[in-house]
Amino acid sequence: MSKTLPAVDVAIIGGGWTGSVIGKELAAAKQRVVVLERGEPRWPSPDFQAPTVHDELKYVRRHALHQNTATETFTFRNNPQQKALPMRRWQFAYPATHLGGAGSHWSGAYYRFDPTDFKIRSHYNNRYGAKIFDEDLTAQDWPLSYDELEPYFDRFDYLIGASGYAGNLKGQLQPGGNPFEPWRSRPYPNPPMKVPYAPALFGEAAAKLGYHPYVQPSALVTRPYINSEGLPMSACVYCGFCSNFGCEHFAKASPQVCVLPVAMKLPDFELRTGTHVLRVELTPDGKHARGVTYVDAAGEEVFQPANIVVLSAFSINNVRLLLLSKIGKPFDPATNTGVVGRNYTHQTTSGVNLFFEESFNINPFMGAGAVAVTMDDFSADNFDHGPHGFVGGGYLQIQVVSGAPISYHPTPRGTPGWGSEWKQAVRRYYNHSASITITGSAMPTRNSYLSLDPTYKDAWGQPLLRITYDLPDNDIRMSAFLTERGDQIGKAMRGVTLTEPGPRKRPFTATSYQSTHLTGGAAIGADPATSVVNRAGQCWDVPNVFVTGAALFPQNSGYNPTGTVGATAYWIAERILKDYLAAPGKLVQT
Amino acid sequence: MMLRRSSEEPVPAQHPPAPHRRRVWPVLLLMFGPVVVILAAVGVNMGRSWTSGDAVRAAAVTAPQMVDTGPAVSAGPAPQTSNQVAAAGAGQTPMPATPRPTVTSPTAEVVRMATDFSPARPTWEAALAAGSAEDGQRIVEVGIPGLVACSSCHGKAGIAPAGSPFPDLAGKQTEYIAKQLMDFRSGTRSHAVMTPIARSMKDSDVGAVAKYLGGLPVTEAPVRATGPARGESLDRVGDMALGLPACANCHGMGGTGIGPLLPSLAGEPAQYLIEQLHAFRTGNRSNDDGGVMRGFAKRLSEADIQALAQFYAASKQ
Amino acid sequence: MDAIASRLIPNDDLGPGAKEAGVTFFLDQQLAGGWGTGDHFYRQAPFEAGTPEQGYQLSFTPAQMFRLGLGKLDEASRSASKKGFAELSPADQDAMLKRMQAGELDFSPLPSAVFFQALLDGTMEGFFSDPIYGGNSGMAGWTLVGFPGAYASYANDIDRHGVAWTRPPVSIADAHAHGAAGEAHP
Repeated sequence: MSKTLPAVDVAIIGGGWTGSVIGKELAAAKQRVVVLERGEPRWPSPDFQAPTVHDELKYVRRHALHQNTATETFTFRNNPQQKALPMRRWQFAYPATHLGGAGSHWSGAYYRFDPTDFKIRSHYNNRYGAKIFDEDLTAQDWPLSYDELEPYFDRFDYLIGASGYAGNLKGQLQPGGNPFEPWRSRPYPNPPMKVPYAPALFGEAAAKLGYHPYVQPSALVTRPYINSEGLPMSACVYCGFCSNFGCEHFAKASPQVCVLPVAMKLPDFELRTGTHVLRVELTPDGKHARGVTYVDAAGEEVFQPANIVVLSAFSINNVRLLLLSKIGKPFDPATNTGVVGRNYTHQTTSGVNLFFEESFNINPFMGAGAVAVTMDDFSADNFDHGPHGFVGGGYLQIQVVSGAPISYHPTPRGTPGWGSEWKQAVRRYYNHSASITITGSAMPTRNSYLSLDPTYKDAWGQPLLRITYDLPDNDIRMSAFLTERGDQIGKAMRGVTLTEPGPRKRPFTATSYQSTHLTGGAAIGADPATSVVNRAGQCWDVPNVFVTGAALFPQNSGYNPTGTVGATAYWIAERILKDYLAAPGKLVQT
Repeated sequence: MMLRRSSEEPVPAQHPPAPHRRRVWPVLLLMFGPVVVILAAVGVNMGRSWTSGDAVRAAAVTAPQMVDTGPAVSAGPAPQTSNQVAAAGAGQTPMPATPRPTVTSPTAEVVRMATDFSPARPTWEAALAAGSAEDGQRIVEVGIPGLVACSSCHGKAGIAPAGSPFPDLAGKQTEYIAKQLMDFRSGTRSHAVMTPIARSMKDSDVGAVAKYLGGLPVTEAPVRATGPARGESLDRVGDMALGLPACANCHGMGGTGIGPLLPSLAGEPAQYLIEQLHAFRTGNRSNDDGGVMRGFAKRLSEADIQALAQFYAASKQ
Repeated sequence: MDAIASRLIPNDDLGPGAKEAGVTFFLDQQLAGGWGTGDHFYRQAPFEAGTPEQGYQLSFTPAQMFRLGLGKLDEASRSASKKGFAELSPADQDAMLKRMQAGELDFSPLPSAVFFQALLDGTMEGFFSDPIYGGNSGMAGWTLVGFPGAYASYANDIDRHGVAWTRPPVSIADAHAHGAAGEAHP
């Protein structure tokens, strides 16, 4: 029925960060690799050049780089008692499509997960006793430690040209850096970003209150940089068209800037765009992958045989592929059996809106995705959780991303949404407003999971992925705590005349944007009863299928995911090359 | 941090002024008199500003970062008036146990700490606070004691005569002119004629001249450029293989200029543009924020530089 | 639609309103294009009412919704006062819009509050998007708030804390006018 192509060694589903990194690593080691990207090519030059890229309507409101809900979306419900309905348009997150994936339109906030994030259950048990965990939480340890992953974090840092100032070099705390930063073996390759007014005011107030604010590390390089692949990057010029946009300046790290041009010169690397993968094909006994089936740009079904299949699509789209391909046992919360789809979470965000005196020009249009002064005093386990009775934490910051006014025209609560009064308020406050944003960890429960929807299908006739999720009590308490701290800082800032704290509340809604950090569903673990992949990212049930990206996270950290996504990509590439290929078809013993 | 001198390019020889210019002799005097002094001064400046122009290479960045051993930079100081460059300190870090090659920080003067939130208060801001446009007009048109008239090279009303190698000043923004003069003073930009001129100017002279010139009309509307195709392509689209964004991103399409500190390129003499790109490439000119121009110039071939220069020069009939 | 736009963002001493900014023209263009016909909208059945957290679950594309909703609004106006919406006094128009916003008008099968939000969203888009789309005429929206538009680089200004930005706004069209038209890429 479908056309069958000549076999390759490795078929990689998805042309984003992990697909590009792993594809390049394997092809450089003479594995014949094909990367299958469903979208179209998008290269900084010519596709993202100004002035046409500076178009908020096109990129933010009309989703030029986002997955198109018309052809494929998620269904959503808060709990298993409800019926899930489709997200007919994006509001809560922006999964991407086209080459580079979300790695093209992301904001560039760049962190490593904290060492305690990798050992969350054992660490908190040891320090606080097991009762610190609410009974409904299914958070669990990674089978990897931060120390093991550090060299891979380092490698990704130098691939992307991370900008920052190390606070901890090999265990030595460094004045001028973040004292809570986990140890790193090398400095950041580039210096920290510039600090606009509102973040400086935040830092000033936070320091006065005894906290430890610092300039956020970012994947927006701050000076001309030749990366570890020999590819050039240029300094960010703070144009304010960053999140949701492609970067015209070669400053925002993306697969197209940092790795693909080198990969595409390798004889064993092939990039195929316009290829929509339907599923991984298995042998009749379901224990071995034969390759993948995709629909090409002409609408024809094509079978691509491969010895190894790597899932590098957007995080939870990888989980959907596992379910569609019948790899692993789907999780069922009613019986608490199965693993695929288990432990899905998002990011527990909140904020404090601030309004300033008119003499303070905030200039929100001068910014970039990751320009921020931030603080980790309440991240991870950097503070005593005992009195508060929740696990996890998050960072507080003022980040100046964009002033593009369709999306950004803040007014104080109670201002009418239209009319002359609105007009007056919007004029008064547009340039005299900022937000303290709070990005917190997200804990899974038995009822936060992914599954295939029984009713709704995509344009190819396949079931949509169904998200069942609400915030656990733990995260509500955490959010209240963090938001109150943020409010305290806001009130201490010079120029601020009004603060409006907005802690995260239940029920979780799909109608407001809360980052695109959708994680979990293919948890990495030491025990097949509670994980989908082993330490090497290898499916317990189908040893020649590897899963990458944030789907592996057993819960979400308070930190942004991409640093850890990149580090684990390098780790998995190495496991494939060093361990898997030594005994193909078998589970790796690492 | 060890300083590394870039392979020093000689300061480009100044083109002899056209015979019809007014006040030739002060210019000649300035050119040939202090040339040796200038060369020496520029040489010292080049050494002092880490401007090798090489993009930092990932493989080379193994040196430990700087640690401030100077005055403590407290986390979150109140926004100060001190220049950000000065605030970050210049302490040397002790070498680690394993000897490693030091890294040059070629384009950032100093690596800022993550606890430094101080604002930038560039010197040209202070200069602009002084001086009036009327004073500026006098300096530009006739000069004042000790200061040659700008128009003697840059032409009447800030438009350099056709065929001259000097850039137009009309159409440049006030802030840009002030910044360039302060940069000539500090050495991040250097030129045999402009450097001593800038150094002899008071802040109020800089402010005056900048205000006057920035207010001058650009008498000719930019026309659609008809230069070499390669130049137009780099202007509009950049070059993916070379990692070059479109010049138009910052300089406006066809180099018309947008914003106060991003100069217009349209209509500038080709030779001037070529010299500037060369100066960025060697690091002789290092007053580009973030080092972006130095990074780009290193990836532009000689042919590309020629094409760009011809393209922008052709933007005016 | 002009009348609605004039009430949502009125013309006043702060500057032009949504009508003067060309919001109606903008919406006409948008509704006639791919977005209006639902090219970014999951339109598979079944359509069921959901919880507020599940978002929009109606079957109307933007174009269908506007056609239906505007008709219903005029109908509601005529049945209450014998005048079309555009003929009412501004105060009466405001009152009607408020009722629509509160869901008190019956536009079945289209909840009036849903349509009101679509009108408001569309008006904001038309008021604040780049003028190449026909709205934000004369950069009225950007001038009101002080947004510089499609500007390239603030690297030299971002850390000059509190600097007053006094440049006029720049549109994508301005940039094109000076040079060859750039290639358009989706």
